[in-house]
Amino acid sequence: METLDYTTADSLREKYRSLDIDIQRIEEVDYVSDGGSLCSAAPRRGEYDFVFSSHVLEHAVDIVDYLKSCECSIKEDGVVVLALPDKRFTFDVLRPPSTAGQVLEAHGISATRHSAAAVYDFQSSFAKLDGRESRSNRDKGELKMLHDLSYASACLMMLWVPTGHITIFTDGYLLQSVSS
Amino acid sequence: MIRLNVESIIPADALEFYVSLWFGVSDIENSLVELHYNVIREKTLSGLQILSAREKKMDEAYCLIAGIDGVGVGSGWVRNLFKTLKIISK
Repeated sequence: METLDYTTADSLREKYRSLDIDIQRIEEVDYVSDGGSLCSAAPRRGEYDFVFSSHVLEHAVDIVDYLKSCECSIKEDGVVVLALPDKRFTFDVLRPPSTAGQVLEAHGISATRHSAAAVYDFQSSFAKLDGRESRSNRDKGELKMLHDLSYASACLMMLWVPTGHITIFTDGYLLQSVSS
Repeated sequence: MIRLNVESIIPADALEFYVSLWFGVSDIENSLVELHYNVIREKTLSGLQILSAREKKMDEAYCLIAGIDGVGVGSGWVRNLFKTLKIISK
């Protein structure tokens, strides 16, 4: 079993040292990705029985390209398992789900960075509930935006979207659309 | 030329759901616009049972876990899956 992440295990442990996370559970990282293709980061093409992609797809600029890279990583009968956040239960609760058209557009223009629209939507619609990060639309409390619109606009000017959710999923909606 | 097939979509917990995919002969771009043809087998299994029907026959498997922002935090369920199914991960 091999692991791939955007930075090294030491960096991740350092990042989470002050948070309420058991950093001993953070495993060694075999391959560090620069955000590009899995195939370029993990050199064993066509050898994996499984690729487990845990909360990655929603960050990808071009999810078609990402799925293609999953395909080139697995064996002919291999399986890709995606764990994805359901927007209804995250800080994305106020955002509409992404559409197949948006996915196609990003792929069609061979996007390599997030669009201005994606940056603005992420920052302007990040929800909080009673001052906390919202986790469910069933929670009771006052639902508000975490940032004001001027902050979102500033991010837009810089095209800055730190680890943002770009593609918004809810239970099966988009992936039913993109499959045949 | 590959085809994206959604094999199952499984509600996991309050935060996420799991999707199992496989690839056949076609191409993703065309599949993307051929909307709503796939039969989604909705299941109410736990995350640990995602692949049991398919993979119980497998004795060992070679896996890549792609994570973001702390793969170890998110990969425990994968290891538990293999332990539950008695699959040796290579």
